[in-house]
Amino acid sequence: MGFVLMELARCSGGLLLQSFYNFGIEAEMERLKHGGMKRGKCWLIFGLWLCAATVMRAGLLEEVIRKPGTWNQMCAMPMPLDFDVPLPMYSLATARNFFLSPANLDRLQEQRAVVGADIVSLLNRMDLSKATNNSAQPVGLLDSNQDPEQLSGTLLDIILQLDVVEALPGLLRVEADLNQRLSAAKTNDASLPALDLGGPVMFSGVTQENFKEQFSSRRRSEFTARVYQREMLSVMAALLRHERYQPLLDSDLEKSYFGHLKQNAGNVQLERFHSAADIPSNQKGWIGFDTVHGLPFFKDQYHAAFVPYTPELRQDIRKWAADYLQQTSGKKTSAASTTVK
Amino acid sequence: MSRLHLKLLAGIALVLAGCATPVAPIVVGPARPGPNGHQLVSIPAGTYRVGVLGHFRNPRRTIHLAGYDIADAETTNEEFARFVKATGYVTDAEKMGYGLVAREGMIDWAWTETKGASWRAPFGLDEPRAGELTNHPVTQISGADAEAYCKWIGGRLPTLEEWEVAARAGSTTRWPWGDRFDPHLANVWNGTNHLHNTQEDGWLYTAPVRSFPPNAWGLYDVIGNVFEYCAGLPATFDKKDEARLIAGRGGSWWCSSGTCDFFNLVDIGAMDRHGSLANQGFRVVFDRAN
Repeated sequence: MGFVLMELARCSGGLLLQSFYNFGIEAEMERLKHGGMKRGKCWLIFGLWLCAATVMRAGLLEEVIRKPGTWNQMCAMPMPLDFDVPLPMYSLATARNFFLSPANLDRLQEQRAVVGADIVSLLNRMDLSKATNNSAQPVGLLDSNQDPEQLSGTLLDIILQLDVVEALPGLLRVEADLNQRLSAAKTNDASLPALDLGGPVMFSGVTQENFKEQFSSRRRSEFTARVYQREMLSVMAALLRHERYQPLLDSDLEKSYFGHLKQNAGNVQLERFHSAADIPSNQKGWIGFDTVHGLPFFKDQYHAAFVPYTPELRQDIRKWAADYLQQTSGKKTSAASTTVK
Repeated sequence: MSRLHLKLLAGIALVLAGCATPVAPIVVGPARPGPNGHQLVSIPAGTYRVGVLGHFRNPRRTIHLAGYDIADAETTNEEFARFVKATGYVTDAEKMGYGLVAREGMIDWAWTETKGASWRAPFGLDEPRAGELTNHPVTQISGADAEAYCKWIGGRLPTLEEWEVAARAGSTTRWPWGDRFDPHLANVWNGTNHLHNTQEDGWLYTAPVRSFPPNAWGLYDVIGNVFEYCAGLPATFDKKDEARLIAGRGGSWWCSSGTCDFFNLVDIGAMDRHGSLANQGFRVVFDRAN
């Protein structure tokens, strides 16, 4: 019974909060008032809606991070990355053990407004110093054992898939924090956050002779931190791309990505797809259609494309994000917008 | 010549005689019947070399193993059905209502959630059922399901090293038969991508166990057919992964040289220990009483 009530609250709260998000709180109150409702009742209903939204807000994002819904196959072992970790172009750097199922992606899309707000809240309160990457705990069906309060591949993938552009300020903050910790770790042996990579990728350069030294706990922590730092930058760039932010579209980063798209589009497995509608429904999770250049592309992490990471590129991405936020402050991004990717 | 010189010469002669003596190959007897219809091969205790020089997940090393018995073939649908009938066990895929399936015509790496896929219907409800595939390896069973079967039968999964020692059967090459892959000796994906399987090995998906020649110790399908779950994870994995992942070896009908290339004696994969796919299976190991 409790579950049924929660679900009712989730569905109704989501619909109602979506309405508030789209039209603004005051406008919504006016609409109700013109409908003949007294102000007191309006605020009562608003209060009930907030409660429903809170119930829902606390649940879905955390639930999906804990249980993303599907898993990799046995041999989905990504190629090692350079220890310096290049910058992935508009994607995550590597596959994880668990990833979003189509059903969970649909649920997240349905509750886009609330999930977006919850992501903003999460990034605002995220404290990397509290990351513990606890030792093994028993996990059940579909449980990824990821900490929903910390960075994870699932969190970043949700931001990417739902185009949560409102997450930009939070990403800027957390990326700056992580970058500062990486710098401090190099210069004064400061400790690094114990982040959970959630995937099997390792760094190249390991040999028989240096095996033990290479797999020290510190070296793995540094590699993990670099992966997440590069991925946050990549996600920021992807969000700006979704918004068709022109300085990004005119950049060398975009030129490199276009070259990668053209190369892959000629692959015999993709050449038959000329529009998003051509992609079979059971493979939409694996094949995307880029609407900037009108080309199909592989969505899996094994076809991710990279450019070398440099501090200058990092500054460019951060500046684009900051400039975009300054230009668009006060505007609402439509929560109902979707882009076929 | 002094006595000391004579003793020295005798010692040198003995050492040289020892070096000249050829090392006897490990002799493994024929398979013998085990529980639930399994045929078991006894692997003697000893010192073995596993891994490959420079491989970061499976580096070359010398290990010591106690003797153990290992099934000569992957657990079949028929054997698993007896377990389910005896215990009423419900697999993870049945609890979730779906498993992951890949079919010819899909792009590389794509797997799709298929409602109703389970060990009873490994490719879904519209495809051949386990009852029609009795001698095929059981699939759509998770690592946890495999462990449950092994516990029921009084056995366990092989460790990563036990699997490799048995699969190598004394070979030092990439495959049990040598360093050149032969598509007629194992069931893997033939073709440049998963749009089309050219079926040089004669099979599109799983093959009945023992369809291909065994290795030198009488084990079948150590390469290809289905990935075989193993206990433990490589040292490169996070401690946290022990609770959520399970390792697998040997490659499967899905694996191709254009994708993972894991159908060999060296590579080690890992996945969600409660996940189920149409290319996962296992073989059983039994400890030998001293």
